[in-house]
Amino acid sequence: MRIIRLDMTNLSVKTEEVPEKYRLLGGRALTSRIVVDEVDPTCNPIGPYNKLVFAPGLLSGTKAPSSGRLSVGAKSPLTGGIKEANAGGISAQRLANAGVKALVVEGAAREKWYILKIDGNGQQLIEADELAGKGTYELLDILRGKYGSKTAIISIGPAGEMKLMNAGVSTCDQEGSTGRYAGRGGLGAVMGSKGLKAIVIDSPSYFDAPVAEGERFQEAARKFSGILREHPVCGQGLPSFGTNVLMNIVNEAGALPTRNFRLGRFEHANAVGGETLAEVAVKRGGLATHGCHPGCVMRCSNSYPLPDGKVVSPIEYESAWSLGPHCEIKDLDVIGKLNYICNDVGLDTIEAGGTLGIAMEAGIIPWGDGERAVELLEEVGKGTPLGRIIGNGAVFTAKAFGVSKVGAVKGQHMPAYDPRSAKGIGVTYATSPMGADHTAGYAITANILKVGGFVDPLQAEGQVELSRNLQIATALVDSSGLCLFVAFALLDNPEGLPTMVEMLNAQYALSLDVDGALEMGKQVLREERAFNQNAGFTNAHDRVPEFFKNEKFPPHDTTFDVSDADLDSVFNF
Amino acid sequence: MQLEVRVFAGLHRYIQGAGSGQSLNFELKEGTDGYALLNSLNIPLQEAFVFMVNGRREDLAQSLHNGDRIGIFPPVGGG
Repeated sequence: MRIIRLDMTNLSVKTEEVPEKYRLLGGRALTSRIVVDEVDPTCNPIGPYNKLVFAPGLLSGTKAPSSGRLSVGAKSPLTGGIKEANAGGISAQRLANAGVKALVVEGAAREKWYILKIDGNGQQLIEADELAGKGTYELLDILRGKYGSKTAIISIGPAGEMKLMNAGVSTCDQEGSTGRYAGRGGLGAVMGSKGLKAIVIDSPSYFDAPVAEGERFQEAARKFSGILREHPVCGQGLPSFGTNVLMNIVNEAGALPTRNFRLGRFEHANAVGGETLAEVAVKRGGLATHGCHPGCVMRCSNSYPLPDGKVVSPIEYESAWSLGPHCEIKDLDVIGKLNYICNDVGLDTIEAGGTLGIAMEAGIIPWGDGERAVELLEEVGKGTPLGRIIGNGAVFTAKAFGVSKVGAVKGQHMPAYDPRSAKGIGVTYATSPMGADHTAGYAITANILKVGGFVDPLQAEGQVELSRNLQIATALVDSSGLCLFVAFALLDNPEGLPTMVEMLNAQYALSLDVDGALEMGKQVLREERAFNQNAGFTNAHDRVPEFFKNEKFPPHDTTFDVSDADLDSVFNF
Repeated sequence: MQLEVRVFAGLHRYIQGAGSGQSLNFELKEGTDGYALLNSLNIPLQEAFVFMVNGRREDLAQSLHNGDRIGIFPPVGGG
């Protein structure tokens, strides 16, 4: 394995051996460590001193099931803190099989745009001015046409080129669809600031990354696969309807933020939920279930044909919520169209929908007006002044238009659960080093889904412990390259974590126990938090906006009442 | 008593003529519990993974009351 260092100031590409200190790190643990080691926390995120780091997880590129996550890290333009955004698709598997442990992109853009081509033999920087301004769908058609239909493409759309704070990094699935985003935190703007339009990765395999003890590994991987298949959510729930099946259960629980966090239920939730999506997708020749990468057991993705003949894949729950109920948009086709625009222009869907809600709050467009929402979102790709405001995210847009009600933490918009009626996720939003991020400690499990025990979502008690334990386990899972959705099984099956650790032990010839592995998760959080402190963050940044504490949220009429002292105890470990 | 019942994620197949997520009204004896409701809907016990009453997760043994809003789910997840 090797580390590729790409310096965009000098246009030089170098290969380095993996230093011993990084050998047992992968995914989030590795991207965050390199950022901590090499990036000044006070640097300008879109300046020459920030670095953009890509790393497959520790298990990525092997036969470990559902292990295709790619971590992308840098200082975030959106939050001003450290960021790790991870994505599915085939990029992590392709990188690991091309022998790449990490790719570090540093320096500043020159006059021209470039692509980086990586394969098992080496890497090459190629001028690509002709690709400037391309949306990611056309870009992927061009690049896979030129370099092969089995290549993985990591890229940015026009939003990243314009260095907008809501620009994401796109990765692709086997079919070459661009909708697999390391979306959150504006990492696409960092890529744009380096003048790097795309990375093309070619490798002959998905599953042949080096493993120290093959037989032992195979046995553990087979067992892990069985654990996933046996779990009701991983083996049955996710493969049937995908993540958007959450729309109805979160709505029933009264935790579905509607009309910019005013109501906990949306009258038309079922019309935009996973069951409807699956039915319409299949009727139109799309797919209700689809794997984002080979070797996935859960296959929670989908493929949704739009009325205009374009296909968006996937429509996730979080996207369907932000572009739907949050804006009171009740038409799945409109949501799909907005999602397609996000993918093409290169925007994070959660932040984009959050921002459209702010635009509605500000009266720029009416609530629920899908047609106007599409027009407004299309402004971003055109680079108009209004489009650039929208493309900079919810907090920026709220400031531009004098809106005080914006559901964000550390500058990042909240995902699809209200912290007043799912208080565990509120603790995660408030305290995660990432800003408001549901995946950082997905307390909806015990709050609503009946996975990993039960903690009453409406009470403050027990939420800090729940979020803390989930944030630690998540930092480990994000480093392993396993999809976070394996956590449903890890939480319920006592053999889950030991089997995951056994895969790591077999691959790297280790003898870690579960506690030792969880220590890696703790260490990731400590380092990320220290980076943020050195960037100027204090406990005052670990809070939800005041309206969550002061405005009652129907139907349960609760407020977010986890005390500040309790929030400040999340990282006591 | 009248109950407002919604079933999701494929469970409507047990109830003739019902649509997924559609609001259904049922007349049952006051104090009937979740077990009896599932029985009258022909939904197998193991399929009702999450049972919600008025937006809160409840045990099936809990007595139900007039006007309750019930949501029944098989295992679901995502995020």
